[in-house]
Amino acid sequence: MKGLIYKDLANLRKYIRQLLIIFGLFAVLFGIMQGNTFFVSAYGLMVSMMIVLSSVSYDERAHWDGYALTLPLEVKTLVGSKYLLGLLAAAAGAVFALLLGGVGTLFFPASFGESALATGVCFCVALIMIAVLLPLIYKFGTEKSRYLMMVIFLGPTLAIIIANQLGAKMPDESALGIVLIALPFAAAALYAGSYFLAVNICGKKEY
Amino acid sequence: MSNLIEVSNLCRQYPGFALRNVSFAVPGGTIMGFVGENGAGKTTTLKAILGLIRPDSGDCRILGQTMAEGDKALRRKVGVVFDETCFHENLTTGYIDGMLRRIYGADWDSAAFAALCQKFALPDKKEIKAYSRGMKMKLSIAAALAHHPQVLLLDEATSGLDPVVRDEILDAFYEFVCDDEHAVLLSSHLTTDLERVADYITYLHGGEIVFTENKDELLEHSGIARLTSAQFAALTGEQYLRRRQTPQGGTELLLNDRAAFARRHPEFVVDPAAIDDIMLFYAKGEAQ
Repeated sequence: MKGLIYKDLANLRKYIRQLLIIFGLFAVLFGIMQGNTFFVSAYGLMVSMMIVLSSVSYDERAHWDGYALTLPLEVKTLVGSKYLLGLLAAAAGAVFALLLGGVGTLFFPASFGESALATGVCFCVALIMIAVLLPLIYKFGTEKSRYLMMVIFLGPTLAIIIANQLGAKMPDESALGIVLIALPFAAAALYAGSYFLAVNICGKKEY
Repeated sequence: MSNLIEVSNLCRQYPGFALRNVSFAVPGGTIMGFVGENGAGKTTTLKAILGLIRPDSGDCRILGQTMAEGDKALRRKVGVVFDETCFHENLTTGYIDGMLRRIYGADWDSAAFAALCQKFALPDKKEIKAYSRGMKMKLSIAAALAHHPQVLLLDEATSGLDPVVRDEILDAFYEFVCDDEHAVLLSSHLTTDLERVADYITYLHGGEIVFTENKDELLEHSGIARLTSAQFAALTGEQYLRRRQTPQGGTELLLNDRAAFARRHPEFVVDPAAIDDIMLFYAKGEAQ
């Protein structure tokens, strides 16, 4: 597992460096935005997905998985390393957003609680998105999955817009509170379930 | 001398292609050359041995065990080189060392890997995407040897290499099988390489084994009789393996005992047959 994470980080090192520079730019932008960390959190969410997607697509291009299975590695370790990578990337984004949020309270009348909440939500959503993404990638390959992802994530957005147009009421605050409490549990359950599903998909594959 | 690799009655059906009853064995201390045309099923057979595809029936064993999922102890004893390097394009030799050291743990010999990289003149700062095909191949071979495996499986490992490097690599394989505990299965189109180092030759044609033979005996006994069409028409009661027409209108026969044939027909031209010739007879010629 350590070797696989090491490989992904080493292979993506230039990409990660670029992402860090963009994070730096965000920090500057964040000053202009008067301490609003929501964009940083949302960016962390996107980045964690991109890192997972890139790492799998590099594996595909190198025909890595077949070779890796001739090394002392198991399918569940190969798959697990991607879930761990996703978790690490999402956590790194969240930590960065929290740090900025913390620093922000020193300079701006921003509430740390609010930015922490936004970060937490984005972290959970990132995990949910990776949980949806990875089994799709393993089943259909990275190329087709890019399109599937768009459909899957545009779907709910469209549904909300349409519901709004049709005059459906937005949920009130107490309902939102329940959603917020349930979100981390749902994310964790989905992430774990998705891992077992992906192991199952890969276990049936031939390389 | 026990068999370190054993393939018995391997069958696998694909749309438009099938491996049928593939059986052969690689004894300890030997190099098996695995030849066949493109698409004959060499890579499929190697993948079946490595447990990367599931056979419909039959059995593949390395050191008496199958490469079933989860058997890490066996995987540590196997080194594999595929026809393309499987390392990611942004990695350098240093990163590959770091990765494989973490994957193999104590079995990984960083010093041996560094020595092999140096021997093969692999640059330590360059990323793999800047490597030539030959360099990628050398890198894969260095990685396959540096955990001191017992069994090496190589798919087209010498293709794309210049003669000097090929020579070095073949020598490395030769050293590798210095005792009965080690064996190499080497698939290759470059039959001259196999003629140099292989102890046995297995020929796969259209998904089926044509023969598995001791290389020296094969090359010593096989022959080609070159006949005019009139000579061929007059030839009766002779056994031969395959026959083919030459563009000049003559007939060539593939023989499994050229000396005996020459004794019976001193008037004919009989030449030794190389592995390439034998493959051509099976691919383009016809049976008796």
